[in-house]
Amino acid sequence: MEAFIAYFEAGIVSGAIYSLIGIGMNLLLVVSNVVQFAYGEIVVISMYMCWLTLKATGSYALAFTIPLITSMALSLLVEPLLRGLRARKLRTETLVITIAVGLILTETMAVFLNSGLPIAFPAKIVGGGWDTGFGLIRVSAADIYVVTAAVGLMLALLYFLFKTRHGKGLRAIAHNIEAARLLGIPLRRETILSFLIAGFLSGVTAILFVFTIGVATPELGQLVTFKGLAVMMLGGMGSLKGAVFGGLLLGLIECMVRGYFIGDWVDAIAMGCIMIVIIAKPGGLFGEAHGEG
Amino acid sequence: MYVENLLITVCVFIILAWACYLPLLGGQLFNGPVYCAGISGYFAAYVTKVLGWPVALGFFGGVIFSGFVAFGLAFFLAPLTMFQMAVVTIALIFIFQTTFRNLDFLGGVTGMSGIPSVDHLVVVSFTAIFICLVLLHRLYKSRWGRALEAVEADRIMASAMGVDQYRMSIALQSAAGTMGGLAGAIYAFNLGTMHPDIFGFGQLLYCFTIVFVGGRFTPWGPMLLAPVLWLIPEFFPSSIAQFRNIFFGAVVILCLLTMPKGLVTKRTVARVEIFLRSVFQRAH
Amino acid sequence: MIRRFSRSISVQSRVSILQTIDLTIRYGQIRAIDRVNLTVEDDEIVTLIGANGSGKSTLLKGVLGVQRASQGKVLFRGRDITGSGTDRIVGLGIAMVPEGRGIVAEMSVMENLELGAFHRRDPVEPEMRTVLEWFPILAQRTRQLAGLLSGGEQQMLAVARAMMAKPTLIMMDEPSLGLAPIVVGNLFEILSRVNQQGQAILLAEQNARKALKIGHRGYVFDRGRIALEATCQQLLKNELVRRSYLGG
Repeated sequence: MEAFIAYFEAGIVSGAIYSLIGIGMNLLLVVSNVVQFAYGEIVVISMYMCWLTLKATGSYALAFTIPLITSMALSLLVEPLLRGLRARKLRTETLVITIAVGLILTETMAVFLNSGLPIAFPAKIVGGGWDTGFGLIRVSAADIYVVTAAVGLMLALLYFLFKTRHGKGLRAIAHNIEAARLLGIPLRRETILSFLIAGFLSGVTAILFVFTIGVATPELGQLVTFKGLAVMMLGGMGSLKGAVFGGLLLGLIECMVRGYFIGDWVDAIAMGCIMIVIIAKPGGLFGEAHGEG
Repeated sequence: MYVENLLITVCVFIILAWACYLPLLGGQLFNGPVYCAGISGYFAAYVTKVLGWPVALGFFGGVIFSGFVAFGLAFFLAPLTMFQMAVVTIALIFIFQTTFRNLDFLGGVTGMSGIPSVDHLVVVSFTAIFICLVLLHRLYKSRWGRALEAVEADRIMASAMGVDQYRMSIALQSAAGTMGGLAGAIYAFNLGTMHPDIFGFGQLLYCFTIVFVGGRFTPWGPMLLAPVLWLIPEFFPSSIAQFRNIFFGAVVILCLLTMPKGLVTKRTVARVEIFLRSVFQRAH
Repeated sequence: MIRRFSRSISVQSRVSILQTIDLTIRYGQIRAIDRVNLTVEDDEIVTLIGANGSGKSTLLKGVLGVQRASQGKVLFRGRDITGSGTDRIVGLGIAMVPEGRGIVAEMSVMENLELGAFHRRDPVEPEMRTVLEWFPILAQRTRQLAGLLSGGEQQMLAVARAMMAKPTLIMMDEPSLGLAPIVVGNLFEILSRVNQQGQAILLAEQNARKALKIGHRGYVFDRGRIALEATCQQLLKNELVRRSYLGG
């Protein structure tokens, strides 16, 4: 029983991070009609930048701002690549382009950054520095940071989307782009805004990964993208609320499997989920919030 | 020896590119050839090295087995949209890689080495290329080629005109998977080793590059581009060589933005045909 | 001294709210509208009538910048807005009530109204109050999802939303489409009242009779060209118009 609670707690923590990823990816999907296959790679390369900054300057303040800047910059750089194609509704091409961007980023990490070797963050920040609990059930500072950050960001995003002018504009675009156009909502500017927000979310995700996983390899990027995709599928493509649920579900399943089964199957679970959901219920477990599946 | 190796490798990647190109003709972004190559390579490696089967049996066994896998999966994958299929097949690449990594009898993370070699593999490779080309060309010109074009252009309309997309998709996937298996088997016997990372995302990018840059509407584009793309990095000094994948990625993106139809389009092929025909006539 | 004098005169002279000069819009080889010249002045309702596909909608879309002009110009208050982006044009003061209403069904009535004021930086409470007074049905349902409203109510919402922008010109594309006659009557009455407050309206309508009744001036569109231009009273009495569009 104790083990179960321990796994459950770990599941919630990873789940929270996965939800953030799902939210970022879904946001891009509903506003800009793009599945960002390079999302995870942007997260991981931001982790690398954080590590490099820490090594170079030793300043934590700097090390934790750089990933945000990196992720937002990269996200903004990808946007113009997709602009022309989005207008002409060439979906395969946007898919291939984002995959290509992701692979370029992975290769950049493998070749340039730390010669492709895995990076590891100092032990004193991984886990946040302290933990409490009894027996197998341990709650570390990192766990608390993660959940607080995740919940905080979700609330902030909710506020933005429902109580601000631009947030409502984004929602209008997501629901009915033609109406938004005729209302004079500046589509391109709002799209760029969505990329900026997604970039910010991925930067925060990178920082949270630093605290929880503490290590990264170039290959991690693709994996994170696919977990994000799994979250999108589980919660329904394009559904922000679904992403919260999907993220938690994936986190819990992974931790249970890691706890109770042997072998390195954890990552394949996300893949398996994607496949099963696509094949059995293409709209995601909760039906589609957004057209194209 | 080196030249032989190079030729065989180029053949492998042409076949692989064609295998990815085929489903695209029918409007499907099917990445099956990549994992089928892995399946076939491992099958051939295992049965010849561990079970001691004769090489020919291992070779064809690998091809047929991977074709079978593709066929079986096809029933599940056929009804998917282009996007869903792309995602699922990429996921499958990953799943198969993980499976190979975790199966100890296949060598786990380090894979298998010491696969027996095949004599005259070059001849085999060229024969394979020739057969594939003939088949593709016949397909292109046949009734099925028309059907594929119709589906690629507009799925709904094609169904309305009586094209059975479900069966067509299964056929495409099985064919593409088998071709992928062919490439994988040749590669395994050529290299002599097989390990999980060979047929993964790097290969995927490579296939994308060849197909999308070379031109996904005719088989000639991938065929002409594959050797070029493969050979260019061979000539780089080794310091730049590691940027190979970045190079491919950048090329794909640039191409898709400027020439969405690729370098060799149907128009290009038609123009070449007209030109050749006029040369012929003048010779008479 | 003379120059200063003439400058002050030109400031006094009236500039049309909207003026199109030889506006031509092509879809490929087809000319959807061909060398259209029309104007909308302050305080008036200008009605566009004509058969389906005669170019009325295309004209409105051309003004709004949704369709690119192949030739000609669009002037808004004397300012050339040809080729400008839709967001800029709306920001300058043109509000559109699109065909099919164009409301965002998944957002609430209140939020739809707020979207109408997207470009405004000043406080919107006064307009919100006015609009809810004029459309009590909407006032009762501010929190409801807009998609749940009936056709007529959605049309009211679309008009109210346009008013929220405090626009210089409201353009309406086939507002009576799909609505019951009583509802249409109600709607047109409201449009009249809105216009009496000083709002200029450009109205494209298939229901020629009702549209001409509330309009001041009208243009008849025929296959992309303007066939006739007159006051609405004159058009209502015109033989050709009566036969073609008013059911004899």
